[in-house]
Amino acid sequence: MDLLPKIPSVWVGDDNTEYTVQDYISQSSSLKAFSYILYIVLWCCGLHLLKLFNTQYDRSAIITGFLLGVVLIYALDWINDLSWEIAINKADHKYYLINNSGPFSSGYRIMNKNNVFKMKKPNHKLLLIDAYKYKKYLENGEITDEPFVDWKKREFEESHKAAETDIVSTAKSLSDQIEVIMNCAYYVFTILITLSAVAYRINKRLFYRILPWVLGSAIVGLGSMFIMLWEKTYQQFLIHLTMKKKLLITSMSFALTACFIFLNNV
Amino acid sequence: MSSTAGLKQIKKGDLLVIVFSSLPLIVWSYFVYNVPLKFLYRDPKIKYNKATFFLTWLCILLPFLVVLYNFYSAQYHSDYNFDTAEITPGWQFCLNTDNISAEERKKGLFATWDLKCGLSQIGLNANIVRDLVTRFYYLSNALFIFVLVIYNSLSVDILKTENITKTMIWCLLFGIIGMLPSIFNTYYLKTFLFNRLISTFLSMNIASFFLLILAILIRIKVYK
Repeated sequence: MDLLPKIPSVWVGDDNTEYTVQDYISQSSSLKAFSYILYIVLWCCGLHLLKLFNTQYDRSAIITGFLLGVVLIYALDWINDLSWEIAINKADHKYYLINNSGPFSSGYRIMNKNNVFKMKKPNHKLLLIDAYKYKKYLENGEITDEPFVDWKKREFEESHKAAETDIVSTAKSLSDQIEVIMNCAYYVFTILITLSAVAYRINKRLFYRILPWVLGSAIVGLGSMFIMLWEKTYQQFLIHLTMKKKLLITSMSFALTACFIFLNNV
Repeated sequence: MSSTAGLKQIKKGDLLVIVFSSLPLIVWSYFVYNVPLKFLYRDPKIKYNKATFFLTWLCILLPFLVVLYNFYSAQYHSDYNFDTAEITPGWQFCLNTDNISAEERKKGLFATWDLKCGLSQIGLNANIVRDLVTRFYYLSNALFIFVLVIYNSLSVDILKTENITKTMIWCLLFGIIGMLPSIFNTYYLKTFLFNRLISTFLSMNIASFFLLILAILIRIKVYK
């Protein structure tokens, strides 16, 4: 059964569109590959810590933790690349699926010239248009446009010209996200401290078995979160955010491994 | 599923909320079968009186009751129609197929998306995520303080009891899972549904914390 609508759509705004927020970005395949390599390298370092502490390998817990991390990183990439959206229609309060996988590389576009659709000024709505009809308008020269990401990039570079609402909304949304991720890294660390305290009182050998994973989680989670980068472009900022999320996943996979080792040995 | 140009309606779409809320109950059932039920029925050393037996069952059923109550009050009881959305009042609907002229429809326009409304969805999701994550943290922190205080003040070594330790680790495991919303927090309705899933994990975390307290109380009583 075909779940998505057959007609793909494009989401279109114009130069006067305000309240535009883009707070995630699809990573390039090289960056995705890099994040998986980084994940494997960090896990190898985790395994090396085991040697350092001269503790034994808890194979099933380690494999489960590793695979859960891979699944979560994959899920993050998958959701960032999704070409459909689910939304509730204000007109009838029903759930709808929207297919964004049209003939364009990016389904979100900003019109520079528009002789077809009436747009308000200022405008805070995106138009959902049949992608094939929209392509015809482009080919006929009735509309010229650019991908939303490129427009947003330029808007940030020339931020003194851009609508204030756009810059403030996006900047606030991104800084909020970084704050929550940073908090989570710290929260995971405190949970692991509890785990270590309990393990130490039960059995010191068990404590030394989970310690490398607790340390690994703290180094990756806290270490990465407190690195503050002053990005030059908006895209770099989004990529930085996604990488931070992936490092938090790595930290969580170490933490889950520690929990599984504990569970297997109680 | 029925469709209009460019959109496809999800039949009984409101059931998605209950499906997402219920998924963690599979994990809860696994935990319940392996930890509290095992000690409730299969461990002759642990003696439950009527009150502790009833309270243990109440804790076991707590996440199920929360999910059922949420379903009953929002989805089932409101309009008995699972096609229409019955979600939290703060959630605005940004997609709109109204107010589009026949001429514009002919040109290919079939809906509009309100960006101001989208921003309010992002804000609401951010608040829910922050709220969820903080609750998980407070619970884990409470567990840490609780264990330290109880451990140091009792003559009984509570950590040498298997069901107490296992319940504690499951509590911490739920705490780590509770940090996931911070990663998937910018995807509008998808994030909302994911947050519903994690909110059930929160109920499970609280219920397991109660089970832990009960297990400690029973342990103290048995060996006093």
